[in-house]
This record gives sequence, C-alpha cells and structure tokens, in this order.
Amino acid sequence: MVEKELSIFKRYRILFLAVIFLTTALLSISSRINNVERLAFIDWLFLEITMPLQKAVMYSTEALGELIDSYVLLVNLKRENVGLKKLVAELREENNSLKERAIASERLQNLLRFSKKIPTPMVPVQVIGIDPSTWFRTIVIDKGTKHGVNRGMPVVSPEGIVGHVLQASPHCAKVLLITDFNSSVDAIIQRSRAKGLVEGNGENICRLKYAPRTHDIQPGDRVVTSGLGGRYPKGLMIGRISKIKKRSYGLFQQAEIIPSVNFAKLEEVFVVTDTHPMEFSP
Amino acid sequence: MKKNLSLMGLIFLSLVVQTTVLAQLPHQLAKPDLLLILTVYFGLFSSPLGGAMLAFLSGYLMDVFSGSIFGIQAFSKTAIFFSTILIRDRFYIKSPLFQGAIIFSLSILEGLIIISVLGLVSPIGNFLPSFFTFIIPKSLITGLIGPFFIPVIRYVSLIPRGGAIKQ
Repeated sequence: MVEKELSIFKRYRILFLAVIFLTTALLSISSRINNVERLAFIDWLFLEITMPLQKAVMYSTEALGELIDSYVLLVNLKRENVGLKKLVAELREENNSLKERAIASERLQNLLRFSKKIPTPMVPVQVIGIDPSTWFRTIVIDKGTKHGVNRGMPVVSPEGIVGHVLQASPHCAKVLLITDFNSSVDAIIQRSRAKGLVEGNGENICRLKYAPRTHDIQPGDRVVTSGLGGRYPKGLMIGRISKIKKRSYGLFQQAEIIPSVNFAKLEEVFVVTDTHPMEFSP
Repeated sequence: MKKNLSLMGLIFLSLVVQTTVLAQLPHQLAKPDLLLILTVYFGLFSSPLGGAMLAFLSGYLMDVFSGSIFGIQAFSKTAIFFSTILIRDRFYIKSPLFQGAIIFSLSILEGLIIISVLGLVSPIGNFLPSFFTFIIPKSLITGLIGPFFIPVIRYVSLIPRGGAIKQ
C-alpha cells in the first residue's frame, strides 16, 4: 500500500511539487494583500543581508561610471592633439572634479535650505536600491527603525513629495513612490484650490482623480498636497497638470500630472519623522 | 547541496545587480530580468525539487525588494519554472538559439501571468497596455541577454565541483 502511494507520488512528482509551490505563493499573496505594510521576519532578514551589498555595488557603479567618463574623455583628447593630451586631460579632470563638487555642493545646499523650510524633524537618507520589477515603483533607503524611520512616514525631496515608507527594518527601509499604482495622495490645485486624489499609474506620471468636473483645472497648474489624510505635510509640490480628460458626462474630471521629482535621478531624500499636522510654505 | 548554495549566492548577486546597476539605466531603456533567466535555467537544468525551491526563492526575493503585492513574483517565477520543466524534454536545450527563444517566450508568459494576477487583486484594473510598453521590450532584451548569462550560471553551478575545469 505504502509502495503504491510512493509510486503514485513519483509518477506525479512534478504535479505535486507545482501544486505545493504555487499554492504557497498564492497563499502569500492572499495573506499580505490587506496588510501590505507588514514586514515578516524573513523579509526583514533578506533586506538586512542584502543592504550592505547593495550599498557597495551602488557606490562602485558610480565610481566606475566616473572612471569610464574619464576614459572616454581621454580618448577624445588624444585624437585632437597628442602633445597636449596630458595637460588637457589634467585640466579637464580638475574641471570635472570641481564641477562635480559644485553640483554636489549646490545639491546639498538645496537639501539644507529645504530641511530648514519644513518645520518638522527630518532624517536625510540615501537611495541604495531601486525596484527590480517592471510593475512597481519602490526604492530602498539606507536608514531604518534604528534611525527613527518607521512605516507610513512621508518621504520628500526639495522638488516635492517622493512617497512614503512602506516597510522598515533596523538599517534600511522600502519607500513606495507616488508613481506606484498603489499610491494615493490627497491633493489640491494651487491656483484654483480644486481638490482631487493623485494616484500613480506604474509609469513616471500620476493621475488626478475624483476632481469635480465643475472645478477649474488647467494644463500647467501646480498640484500640491492638501494635508488631508495626515500623511503628507500641506503644500508640498506633487507636480504639474499636463493633460485634462473631461468627458461630456459624469461627476468628475481626470488629469495627468508630471511629477516634479525626477524619480530616475533620486539620490538623497528626507524622511519626515514627525507626522503631526503641519504646513509647508514653498 | 553545494551547487544549490552557489546558485543561491548567484540569485542574491543578480538581485543586487538588478536593483542597483540595471536600475540606474535610463528609464526609457528596457532592462533584462536576470532572475527570470536564472529561473529558466533552473527549469532546464535542475532537479524539480531543488529548482522549484530556487525559483520560488528568486521570486520571493524580488517580492521583498519590489512593490506592494507580495507573492506575485514568487508565484510567477514558480509558474515559469514548472512551464520550463514541462517543455524541456521536447527540445535541444543546449542550443543558445533555443535558450534565447525560450527565455523570450517565457518572459512574455510571465508578463501575462502578472497582468492576470494584478487584474484579479488590484482594484485599478486595466494593465493590458503594459503588454506593449513593458513586457515586449523587456522580453526581447532578456531573451537576447539569456544565452550569454546561462554559461555564467552554469559555471557558477559547477564551482563546487571544480568549476569549468571538470566540465
């Protein structure tokens, strides 16, 4: 009897395995679907193990990029004038280095000015990882619960809001960007004070939804956070209206928003650690 | 066991590369899914149990680092693994041309699986336009990279037995 059962298992081994593994995956989807902010121990462990490696690779990639840039620069100069190659290369390298320093200094000054504008404690963080999938828009930052970063906290940059902390482990955290289709932010049009809900669409744009069709919304209008919902400070820039979709029927109108933050070039951002109601004056 | 451990290391490394180096490429460029290539490799060359565990781990890790519907990548990667197992005996799997074609096809299949699951669990709905904007370019680049990445995976899997010397 036991042998017979074993032979059945051997015969349909792949089928059994497929059922077991696929069911486990489906169970994990259904167990987390209503509790996306939960961070299981095993997830926490993977995040913590991978973080130093991610950090190292990110820094090495940047260094390698600079090295490649320098190399390309040298090749071009050689073509122009072999005799002056060394001198020009040195000057250009120095120039590049100074430009890089100037840009970095400007960026850091911007961050500093921005942090002074917001009347609430903030933690500056570095982006160390970007969502590996095509479907979702999240980033990994290099600070976690040990630095006061907890789930639900808003993440902002001088250009505007970035998203909010989805999960946090002791030394790193995952941030859901406002362009993710699971993100929604209560917003108002700065000029006309028309209200609506900004949702991500999984690409690099957002959509303004549930704005009453009678409200005045025009392309180019600035969209800012309304402060309602308690997650984001009031008055933070979200983006600008690029297109309006208004049908001849229905209660609401929709609009497309180009976010003010360039998510492809995020390097340093701030996590707002005090989530009490507050207002930001741009 | 040692082979699986070295492959687990490669999964971690591929994930790190995917979340750092590849993620820094311009947004308009399609990026290859290294973990999908690994999953297809497991389907082509691993045992059903060991391969299924590694494929599940690949998807699970992507879920840990990815967006908010947890388990979706674990599900899709496991489904891709078993799809590969089903077809592997019907073709000459060592041909790079076949490997590229199968990776391309399975990448499209994975995209369709994800679209279907997202359609079921997400209130937002229509993800079908992503088929042309995301899935096809991503599948093409993954299919092109695949035949070059598979020898690397094979080499890493053979390291515990002396690497390429004993091939």
